[in-house]
Order: sequence, then C-alpha cells, then structure tokens
Amino acid sequence: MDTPSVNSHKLRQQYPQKHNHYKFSEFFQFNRVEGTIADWNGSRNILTSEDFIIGLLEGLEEEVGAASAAVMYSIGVEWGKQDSLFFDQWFEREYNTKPQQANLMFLLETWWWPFTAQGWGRWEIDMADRQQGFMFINLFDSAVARTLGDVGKPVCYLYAGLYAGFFTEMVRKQLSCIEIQCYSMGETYCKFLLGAKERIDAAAFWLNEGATATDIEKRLRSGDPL
Amino acid sequence: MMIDPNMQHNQTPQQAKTVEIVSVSDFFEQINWYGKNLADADGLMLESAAYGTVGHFFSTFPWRGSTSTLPSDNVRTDSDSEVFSIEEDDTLTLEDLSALF
Repeated sequence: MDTPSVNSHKLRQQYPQKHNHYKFSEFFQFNRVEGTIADWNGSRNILTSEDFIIGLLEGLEEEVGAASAAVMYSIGVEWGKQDSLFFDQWFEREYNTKPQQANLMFLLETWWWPFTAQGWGRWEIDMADRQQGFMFINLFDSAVARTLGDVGKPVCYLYAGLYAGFFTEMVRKQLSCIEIQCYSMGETYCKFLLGAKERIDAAAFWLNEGATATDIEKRLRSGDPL
Repeated sequence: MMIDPNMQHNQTPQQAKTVEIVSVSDFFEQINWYGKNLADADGLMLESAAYGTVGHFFSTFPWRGSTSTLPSDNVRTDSDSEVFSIEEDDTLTLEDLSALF
C-alpha cells in the first residue's frame, strides 16, 4: 500500500475534524499534474476496470491453476495485515482514541467505510454467534463477484484473505476466513465465515462436500464436531 | 379503453365531492420538519425543537423504546461529535472480541 502523506489531501488539511467525508468528490483528491489519486487518509488509489479484475484472476489461474484461489487469499491476508496497521494510525489520528478503546461496531464500520467509497462493496457484520467463537460477514456488491458474474463457485478469495488478515492483526489471534456463499454462485450477496483455523477448515470440508451456507451455519451452531 | 375523466362511476352525492389533490411539493411542505407545535395523543404540546444538526434530530428518537420521556427531553445543544461517544461503555471492544476466539 502506497501511503504518500496524510498531508497530501487538501480538503483534509482544511477540515481535519470532518468525519463524514465519504462523498466521492471529498474522499478522493485527484492530482492532475502528478497523475495521482489520494484518498482522505493519504492512501494512494488507482482506478481499474472490470477487464482488469477479469484479466488479473484469469491470468493468475492460467499461471498457477487451482492454486490461484490460495494465491488470492494470501494476497488478501497480507493486504489485511498491512491495512490494519495503517488503519490503527488514521483511526487514532482522526478520533483521538486508540482502536482498542473504541466501541467495536463503530471501529469496524469506520474501517470499512473507505472500502465502500473505493467500490469494494457494502458489508454487514453478524456477531450473533461470537460467543461460540465465530462470526459472519455479509458483503453486498463484491467487486470481484459482480465482475465475474454467475460462475457457479465462490470467487471472493481476496476478500476472505483481507478479513482474515485484518482481524488477525486487530484481535492478535490467528484467524482464518472462508466465503461460504457468493454472488457468483447465484446468491444475492456474499457471506464469509471468520474464526479459528480448525473451524474454517471444517467449513471448507463441508463446503467441498456440497453443504450450503445454511447447512454450515446450522452445523456450527449445533456444535457439530469439527 | 378510453377513460373519461369526467365519469362519475355511480357515485353517491357524498362520494362525489371533490377530492383534494396534493402535489408532491405541497405534501412535503406539510411535514413538520422542525418539530414545532406538535401535539401528541394526550394533547401535550411538545416543546418547540429546531433541530440544528442531524445529530440533534436523531437524538430525539426513542431508540430504546422508552416512552417515559418526551422526545424533546433528549434534545441536546452540543455538537454532533459530542452526542455520540465512540469510546467503550457497556459495548464490545476489540479486546472482548479477541477473548472470544
């Protein structure tokens, strides 16, 4: 992630205490002279087309075959870890509060808002099962799934890795994530399961055996042996 | 089928009386956006409350279903950022989440 400088966003310099800054014209700053796009937090952005996403995924698949899913997941994990460090900085700078002391839902929504502004989709966190050590993330308008369309299998490995990496860093526990329902399977939205590795491995096994997201949810809630 | 706008459709004299047509802009103008002089079911007059900010407006909502106070009781005069605390109270924090995994 390229983070040139927090001072590169002029509107931010003008209104440092403004929090509702996710309007397209406010969140992004287009520098025509340098040919760069910086967002409110000073992160460098690039615009890509759907063709780029298709090219990236298909090119990778051609190169490494079925391992492309694992590669995308690993890229996502690294991205999530890096982004958690970056988020730590800008959250504290903007709200004068350490992430560890903030209201969790507020913190997580604040983390995801830039992603929404960048076109990665909206999300919804389902923490109803947190006492059992797992949680669900519903993603609407996944950039990857929306681009690939209905291909009959989950495709959002990058997102799964992103969530795994981010939450691993934030909660200081090794977590994994799997997409158990995807827009590219004909569903209306994508659903991710986040939890400890053994639980995610079990979900992956059930998914390979043909279980649906609802089946997996039921088995997890009933405490099925992993 | 052609529809005659003057057709009366077997209306009785009471039904035939002119219906007041309200345009969309008229409709929105009728909404008491600023909450002034609203009377509730008990006939109580709510305090005139000009909502200076969105934060004030939402702070008047009985979010927890409490009916023991009038919405105007909750109106505060401080800024948006002070209406909502981002710091932990009785809610989850990252450390709580960490303990669950």
